[in-house]
Amino acid sequence: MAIVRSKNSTAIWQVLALLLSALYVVPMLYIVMTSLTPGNEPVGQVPSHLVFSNYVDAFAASDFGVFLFNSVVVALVSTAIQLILSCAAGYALARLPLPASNLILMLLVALLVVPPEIVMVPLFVMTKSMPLVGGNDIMGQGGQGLIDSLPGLMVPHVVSALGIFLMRQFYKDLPEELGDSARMDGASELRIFAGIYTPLVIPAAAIVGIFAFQSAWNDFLWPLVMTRSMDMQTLQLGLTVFFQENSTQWNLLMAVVLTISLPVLILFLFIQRYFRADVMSGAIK
Amino acid sequence: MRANSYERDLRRAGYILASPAIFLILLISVIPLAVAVGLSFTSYDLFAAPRFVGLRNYQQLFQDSVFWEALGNTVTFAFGQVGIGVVVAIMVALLFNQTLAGGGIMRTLVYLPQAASYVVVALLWTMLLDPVSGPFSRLAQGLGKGPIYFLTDPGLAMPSIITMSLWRNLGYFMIIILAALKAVPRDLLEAAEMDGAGPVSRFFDITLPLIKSAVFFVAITWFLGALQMFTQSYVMTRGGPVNATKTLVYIMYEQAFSALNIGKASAIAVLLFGAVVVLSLLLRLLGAARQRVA
Amino acid sequence: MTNREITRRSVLKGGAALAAALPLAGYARHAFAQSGKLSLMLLGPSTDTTDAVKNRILPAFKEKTGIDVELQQSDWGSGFQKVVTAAASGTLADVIMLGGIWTAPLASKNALLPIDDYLAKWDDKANFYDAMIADGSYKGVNYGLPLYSDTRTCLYRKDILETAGITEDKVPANWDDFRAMAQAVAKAGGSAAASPVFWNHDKSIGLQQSFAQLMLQAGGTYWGDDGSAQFSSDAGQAALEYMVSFFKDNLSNINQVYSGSGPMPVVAGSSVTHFGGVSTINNARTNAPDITAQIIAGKPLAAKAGGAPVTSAWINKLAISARAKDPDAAWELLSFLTNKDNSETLSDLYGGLPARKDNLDADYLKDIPAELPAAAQYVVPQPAHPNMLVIAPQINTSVEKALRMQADPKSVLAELDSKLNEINGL
Repeated sequence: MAIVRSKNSTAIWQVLALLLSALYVVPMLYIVMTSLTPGNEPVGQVPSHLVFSNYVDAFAASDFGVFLFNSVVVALVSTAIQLILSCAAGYALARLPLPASNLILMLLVALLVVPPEIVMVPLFVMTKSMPLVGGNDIMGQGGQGLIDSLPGLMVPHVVSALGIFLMRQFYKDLPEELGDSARMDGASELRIFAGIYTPLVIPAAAIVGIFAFQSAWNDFLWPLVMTRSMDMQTLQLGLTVFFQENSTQWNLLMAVVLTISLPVLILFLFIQRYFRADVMSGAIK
Repeated sequence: MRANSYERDLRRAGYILASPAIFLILLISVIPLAVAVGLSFTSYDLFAAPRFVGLRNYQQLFQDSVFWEALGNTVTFAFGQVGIGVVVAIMVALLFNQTLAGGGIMRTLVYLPQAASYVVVALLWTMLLDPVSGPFSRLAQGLGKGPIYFLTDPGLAMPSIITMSLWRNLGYFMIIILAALKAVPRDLLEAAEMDGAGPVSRFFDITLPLIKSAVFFVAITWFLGALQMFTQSYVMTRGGPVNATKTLVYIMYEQAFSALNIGKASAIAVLLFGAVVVLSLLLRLLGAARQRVA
Repeated sequence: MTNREITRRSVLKGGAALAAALPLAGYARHAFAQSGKLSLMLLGPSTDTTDAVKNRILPAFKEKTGIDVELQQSDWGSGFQKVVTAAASGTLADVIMLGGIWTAPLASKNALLPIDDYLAKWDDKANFYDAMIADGSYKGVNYGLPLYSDTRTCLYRKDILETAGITEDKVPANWDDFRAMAQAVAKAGGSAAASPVFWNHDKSIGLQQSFAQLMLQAGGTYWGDDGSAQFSSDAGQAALEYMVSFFKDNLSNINQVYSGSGPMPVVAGSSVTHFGGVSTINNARTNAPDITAQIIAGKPLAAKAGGAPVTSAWINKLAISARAKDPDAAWELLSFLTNKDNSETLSDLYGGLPARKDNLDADYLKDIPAELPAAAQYVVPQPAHPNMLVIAPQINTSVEKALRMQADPKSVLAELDSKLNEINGL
């Protein structure tokens, strides 16, 4: 009897789960369907024929090639920098006797709750006044600093308190003996960091890397605030402009939307196996 | 002697490895905060140099009805999304805790919107919520009611934004709670079941207390994130209709770049930061108090 | 392990070098871009416009003067923000396009170059409408030349009017007649019956612009002699109450919002009239070409029977950045872009009326209802104000509040006045 009861309740769970998935699948299918609808047909109905050229047309309609380049460069470079810095500092905080490491840790935890939007305006002013770049003199006056440039776009993403914090947690969990035995063999500290401990946290680093990439790729407010020329804009920003000037061309818009979400989507699916429960709960602690 | 040079080596490595990151963190996170506080006491329009004006920006903000409206909207958005969202996340996590056919795929599907930016999700939902061509409104029209003006009706705009934000964020927080659920020992639940406890009491008496810290983490993180809502308002409604979707970050952006009032924008940032700090402290105290009681 | 180490270290080194090189690259690019060139910033150009400018107008300029011009552009939505931050950091394009209400905000920050000296020696000046040139001035100093004018008047759907028994010669001339016309159209049923009058409700400041015309028609002014806001004056109240009455009596529908692209309500037939301009005609040409012939224009309204028609115009201009490195060259570009032929081309592409008297017979105007260009004689410009970019959205919100019946017109306007006084520091 117990077996029969559990079969029924399993069926209910299954149905509920399918309904929930539908809530997510249906809008996604809607996007795909819309992106393949011909321009002269109303959106939301099954198209009479699939128009794959929408993808080409949408990107030709604006400088999306440049936007793509900018997004890729900004996201890749800032992810690389952030990863290197997070691993280095995380390791130092976890395994090396850093003076005031407790203070630094507290600072990092405190920064975890600071929304990036809060520092947006002063960061803008500081980026504009960066000395010796973009036409600025040594006092940071007279030019535009890093405004409207690729390095400027990377500024909020080159380092992340969360990244450092997470890597520190992961490094801390590793055993001391590995380092000790290497030290006894005469290895330098930097070699121990790079050659012994870091290879062991690659799964965790992958997650931190994905978050960094996603944050840089999907960033909207910062590019909005600090770009001016059309050829400095990123994909997300270009999307908004496209929307404002063409808000009823949903088919082209959805084609772009799908395409620019693909990189992060693929990364997610690829790294999915690392999203294991224990990894996430480790992060919470 | 060997111990000393060994320690020196360790410390030197520590400096080398940690300084670039710490330096940059100070540069792009800590110093801007200080700059924001400083600028909030000035009148600065980006053209002339900042001019000290004391507390005037704060005074003006507190007397500005739009500020209070934005504050109200932000709080409504945060409480609405998180209040409902936490419950939904727990329920969905419970659901996915069961063994299901295709469970992994379904979990991934729910998580997928996280891959898309807020801009993308906002555009998708602007299309879905269109009063003329969107499926929801068309459904209502098919049922005989008029078109639904999700984003241009002052009463519906914020609830619409809350719903679509929840839709996007559910996956992330659900996974965290799911991880915590998986850590609940099976035998505890089985023992309770054999003692005759029903599923509801099993959940509230056993499961919930054990996943408390995960739920707390989810609620806090989600809430703090929701306090910064900007993109949805900017893309979908431009803060309208009649300021119904203006949030604190939105008016901060407006003050900085339309009104060229950097001082006031910084004051808003400082107030927001202050609220975040106070909340975090309160929650930490609450957590500590609770632990002491237990 | 040694090999991997080396690779990692070299990656670190390479990364550091890259990170150091990028700011230098950014600096180099900026420095290079500024040598021996002019830059021109246009707002919200269509692909046709960019095409015409890049491939015809600018090459012609280069042939004439030998100067290269770099074209920058921005969308309308974030245009002001971009121009202002560029001006503040001294990197504004040499010649920039200004929106209708932008002169005062930018001139008051000394972001624009005064052009009085150039104008005095310019014999082409007489070909421009004085009122439009005045619109590019602030505190008596001229900063910009008009490129085209978005003059508005009452546009109607002839076919829908006829179903209500109103012929082309009987279009309303004053507020009362306008209202009567709307009632007739509502009674006649048909596509526009639910919302005969469209007040340009959009996600931007369309409502404010319609209200501006009504208030000017009622003889109101925005600012008193002491600079205080006058929206709760009799004229303001009359204008707002008039507008609200349409929504109260179901002659306008508050849910009718134009998203910014696609057919406008008058073009789509869901309204019979609105205060519109050439862009409505262009909108019809793009979205419903057969309807174009059905769009007719009447004179702007007068508040009272027998009164003078009044309307307003949003004049887009070109100006020179105060920090232009070569003001003379910038003026060359400015006067070139506003010469007879280029002005005509750009007016056509942007969808506006000519800013030059010698373009009145332009080809593109042939298919435009005659009353529309003629409305230029009734233009009363909106009073300029340095804080207009903040004031206009504020007015828009207040007007919408009244139209949604969230508060009565009197208290909405009183609140608006005190809010504006606060913004202006009074």
